[in-house]
Amino acid sequence: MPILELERNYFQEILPSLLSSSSNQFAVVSGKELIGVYPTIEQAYSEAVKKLGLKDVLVRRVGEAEANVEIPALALGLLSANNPHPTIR
Amino acid sequence: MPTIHIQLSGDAQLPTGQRVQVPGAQALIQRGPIINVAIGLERSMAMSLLSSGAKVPAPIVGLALIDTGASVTCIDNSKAIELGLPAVDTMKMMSASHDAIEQPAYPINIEIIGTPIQFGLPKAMGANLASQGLLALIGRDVLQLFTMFYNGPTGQITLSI
Repeated sequence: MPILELERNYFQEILPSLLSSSSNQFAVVSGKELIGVYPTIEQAYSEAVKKLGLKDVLVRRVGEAEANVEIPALALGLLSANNPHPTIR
Repeated sequence: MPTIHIQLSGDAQLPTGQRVQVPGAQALIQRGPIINVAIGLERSMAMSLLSSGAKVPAPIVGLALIDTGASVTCIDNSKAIELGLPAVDTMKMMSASHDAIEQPAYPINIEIIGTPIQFGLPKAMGANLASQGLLALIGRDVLQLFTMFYNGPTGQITLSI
């Protein structure tokens, strides 16, 4: 199963109500349960650990989409590409 | 202002089997700007674990490559699992050549070894880096905090925060 799929789907389900009640706060979702909504990500993390221990859990700001990241060296498999030609000095 | 100054060095094997020292400039070309880091659980999670009497996993030490092309910092997936880091979200790694790849995001704390510099990253992307001998890629989300001087001719890098 894709990472946190259940949690991400549930987050999308409850997003309209979260947007009206807790916009810009950090929601903690475990399985199909909203654990809580907190003003900072640190508080969200702290409460998630207190309630669930070190468990995979979705922590996302209400109103924020999944992050798109750009890492060309990884995406293109160029992390340790070495130029076989001598360097011009 | 905490500053770290690194002189890269390395050796290479000649066709005769003899190992020779390579100039710093060449080491920097081959290896890239790398620093020693210790990565552990993000601080607010660690504090919460401690207050409940549980044990906090010991940080893992390894090499991090400074990658100005990376928009976010990455940690090796296998090391994140070894550390017991929980996945807290996902990130989509964009590519021009194929579909976006979904990767886990982990809450981490990074310490630059040999300096008082450490910082928390609520979400670092998991990636497969161990095969390159790397624990992490330091991306622009961290570099926004630093001034970096890349001295190619001498094979040195200097970071200050």
